[in-house]
Amino acid sequence: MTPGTFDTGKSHRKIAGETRRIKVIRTLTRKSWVHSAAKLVISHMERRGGTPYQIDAIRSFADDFKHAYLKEKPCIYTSAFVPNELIYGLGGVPFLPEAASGFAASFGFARESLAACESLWYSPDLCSFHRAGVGASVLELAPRPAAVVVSSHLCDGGKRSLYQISRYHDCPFYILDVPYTNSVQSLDRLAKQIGKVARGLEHEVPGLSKAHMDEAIANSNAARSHYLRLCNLRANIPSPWRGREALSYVVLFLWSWGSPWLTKFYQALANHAADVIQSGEYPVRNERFRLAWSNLKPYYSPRLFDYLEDECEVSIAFEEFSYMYWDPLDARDPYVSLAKKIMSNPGWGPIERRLEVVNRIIREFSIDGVVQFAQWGCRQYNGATSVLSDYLRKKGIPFLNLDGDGVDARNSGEAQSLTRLGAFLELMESRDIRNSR
Amino acid sequence: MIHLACSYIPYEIPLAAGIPAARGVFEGPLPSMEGYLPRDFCAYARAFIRKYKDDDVVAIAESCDAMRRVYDVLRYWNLAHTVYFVDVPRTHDPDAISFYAHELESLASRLLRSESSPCQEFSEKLMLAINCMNQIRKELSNVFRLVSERQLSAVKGIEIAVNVNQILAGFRSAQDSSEAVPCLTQDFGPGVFDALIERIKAMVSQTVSESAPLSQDRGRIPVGVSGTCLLDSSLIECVENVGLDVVFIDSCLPSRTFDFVVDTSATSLPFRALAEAYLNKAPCPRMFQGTERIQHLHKLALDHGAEGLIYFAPKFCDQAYYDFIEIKHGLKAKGSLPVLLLEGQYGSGKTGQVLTRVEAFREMLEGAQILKAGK
Amino acid sequence: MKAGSYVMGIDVGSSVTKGVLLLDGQILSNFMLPTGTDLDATAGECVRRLLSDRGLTQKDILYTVSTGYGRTQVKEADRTITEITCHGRGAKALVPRAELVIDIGGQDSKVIRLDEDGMVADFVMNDKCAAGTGRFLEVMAERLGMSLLDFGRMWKTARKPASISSTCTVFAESEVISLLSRGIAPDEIIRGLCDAVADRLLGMVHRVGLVPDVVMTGGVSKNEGVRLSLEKKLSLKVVVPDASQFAGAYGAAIIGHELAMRN
Repeated sequence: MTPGTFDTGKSHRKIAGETRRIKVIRTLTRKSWVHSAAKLVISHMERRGGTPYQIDAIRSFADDFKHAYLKEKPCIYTSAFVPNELIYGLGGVPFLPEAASGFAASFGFARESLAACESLWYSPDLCSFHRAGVGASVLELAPRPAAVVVSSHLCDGGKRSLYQISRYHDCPFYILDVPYTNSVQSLDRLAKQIGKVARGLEHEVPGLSKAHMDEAIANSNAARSHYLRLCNLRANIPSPWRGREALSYVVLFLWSWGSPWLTKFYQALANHAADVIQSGEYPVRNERFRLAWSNLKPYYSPRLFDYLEDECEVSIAFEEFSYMYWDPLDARDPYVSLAKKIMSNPGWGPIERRLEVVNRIIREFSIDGVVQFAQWGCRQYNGATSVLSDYLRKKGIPFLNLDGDGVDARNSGEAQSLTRLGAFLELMESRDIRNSR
Repeated sequence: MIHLACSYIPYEIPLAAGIPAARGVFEGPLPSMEGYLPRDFCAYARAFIRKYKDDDVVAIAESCDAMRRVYDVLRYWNLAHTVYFVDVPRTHDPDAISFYAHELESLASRLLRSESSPCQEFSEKLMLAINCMNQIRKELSNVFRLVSERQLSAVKGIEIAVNVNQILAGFRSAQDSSEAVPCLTQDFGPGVFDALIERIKAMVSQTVSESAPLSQDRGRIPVGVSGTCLLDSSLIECVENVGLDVVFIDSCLPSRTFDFVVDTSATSLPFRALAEAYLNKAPCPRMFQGTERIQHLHKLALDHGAEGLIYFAPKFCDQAYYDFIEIKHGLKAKGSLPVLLLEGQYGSGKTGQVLTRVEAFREMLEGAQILKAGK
Repeated sequence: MKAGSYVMGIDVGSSVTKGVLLLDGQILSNFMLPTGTDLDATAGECVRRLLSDRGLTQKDILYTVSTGYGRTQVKEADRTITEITCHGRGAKALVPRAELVIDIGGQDSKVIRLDEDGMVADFVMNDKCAAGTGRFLEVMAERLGMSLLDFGRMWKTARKPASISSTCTVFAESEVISLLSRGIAPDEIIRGLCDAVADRLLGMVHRVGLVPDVVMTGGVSKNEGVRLSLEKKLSLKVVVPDASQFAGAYGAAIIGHELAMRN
């Protein structure tokens, strides 16, 4: 690995965002009694009749965070689309700074993370999920990485910001350079790289070993089965699950494949959806429209969803990011399997692959309209807006491109967003009236 | 002709296939094409969105998120007859080189519209094209040596590089009857590139000899200019007009397009030689090659005595934004070369915003010297 | 330079044009007027007033340096110098311990780090839009129906800052409207606006490195609210010299004086 070149190791405490509450949180996250207390609180929540899937999710993150913050297991930072079966399979815990930015925004720490990042010269025109990830890592709100693994597919900012995080922390860095075209050569090159990364991690990070790989692959496949059951249930009209929650739990979809607890979580969630359908206690009772949601959401404010789901009785029936796109993995050939998983990502390769998935979502989930949350700085998704909008127009599906920012509230005009959503719903309504004539 | 969108796509392959080729150099995004890409996309990517002539094709590389979307938009909206995609690795390990050699071979097959691998005859032509481009690159490296030695203005250097690019584009196919332009067909003979090289040599020597002599004021401070894509020469012009001497340029055009040679002495496999040379040239900001890029810039600054670095990031170019951070940190670790960050669009060098920053940078570099000079 | 020679510094800013007249390196007089649309005429008027107040003519002036965004429009100037260098020099002259200068003008803001000689060691400027500049504050004050002079007083009466995330003039304006409609007190909104401007500056300050003493110049330095927010966020005192608005023109005049002495 290259030696550290970034000057923040010692002096970064002088950067912006280093407020008193950040110092307090940094200290607390490293105390074992805090993690023990969290465990007690979760058990208490369970005894008080908390929703099982929510308890499962909290418990699993609490578990991973405990391992990572207290250095019980090596914490490996990964970019959003790295198959984390690789990390769990090596006995490590993954940490996704991009996804953690969503947590930071939800808990109100995004401002400090973004400020820290800006004072290190990161442009505010970069995607805030990446900026806040760098900020949280440099402020050490996040656990320290033992190594960083990125994949080159989808966004440029993800891989580059994580590379820079590896320089701030002077830890080993690995890139899976994902070929664009799906071919035998591509698959072979990628599978070889995955094997090399696994060997590299095993060699360079004490405490990692491939001994857990079979188990991680089995976990991933089991979770996948429950997940598919959940997807089938989500096709129900009305929708059995709130879209705002689904958009929060997208974090798990990105983070946790291969973990021992994801199976339990999706099983509990599928059971929950089945119960809702059986009881008829739908979150949006008189569902007027069913939307498909593309990209993420503002994590710092629920206002858009209060408006959509509660005031306008519109469901977000499914999200583009939640679409299951890979085949079951083969434990006999894990690296080839993981390579295939990466190569099947519909956001990678020509745009037709993404359009095909959107089309399937529309069909499978009886979608009336599509909203793309145009995350500021997301060239990967926003760049296809003209194509997506034309494709949907030809299919007769209303489409709204909603400018905003999932983490950096400064880039969002909530009032403008609500007006646009309102106008979009009016448009759908007038179409409905016209069609029923 | 074929418009090449990235310095990692070899000119040699289309030339050997009998297709004139040039790096896409445009004057900016077309207002009539707005709406195909969001406005928060870099101007270089947006400039690529245009309706291409029927016999023009485009080759897009896997450069960045924006250029991948350009590839999608051009195809979806039928803006170009054919759009090729070239999958450029981000590393240069042996596997990456083999992969890229295969990818380049596949590009050749696609250009030749052949199902099978290019034949031996094509390989021979490719060797000729490689030699031709090596000679052209040698001419350009002489030009930029003059720039480094402050005998030729950097604006002239860029003009020559752009002219070379245009001559390669104007290297018309058989239908073009203009005698001044060498003719390129799929069954061209060994001599065809000689005329091209001669033409470029003549253009270079004429432009150099006609250039106005540079200010011999040795008080002018030497600086380097770096970035992803400079978009146009307005920034370099601004820097020189403000009284700084540009002693090196590190950007897609000219340096990363022309500042290397393809070594064929060690292999008889031309695709392999191309893949090795292109992946091993001074890395661009999208590559993941450890600290090679910082070391390269540091060496350039030392070799040419640059006292400052002006970094140009096209507005909304994520690669440049991240690259700048690495350079700022990297150069600081190697002993604090002052760096100025400029963001902009096409023609930014003509704006007061950029002028003020470059002037202030010069004043900063001059430091105490500022008081010595008169008006 | 013979005793009794005069030097001028003219700073043509986007909202206000400032002029300083030095006699033997000491401030003799200063003058400012709104820039308006005709930069050339405004600069001429500024020069005329500086001269006529002291009964001088252009011939009496040994050297003139112009600065600011309209610096090239000053016909009387012998030399133009950027506002970055001039603000640095001016601030150092006004506050000799200054090492960091925060200048917020009508349409841009900059942070300048100085070396021990008062030379610019590093600087950073905001981007094109008016986010977090004097113009931004003017628009917000207008929307609240207040004068910018009220900001300091209101800041102090506010119990806490209202949460305003944006310094984009358009987004922040709608945030202010929404806060008002929710019955949030105007003083809390003002403190929130000042905090938002300070937050934006904070990133710029840390980019060049935070070193005391910090001096604030430019039109917005007279806005006590922004100064208070900055002090709170930087955890140190921000010095605003009396002539803070004239720092650029003063710096230009000082450089003019030094150049004249060398000639």
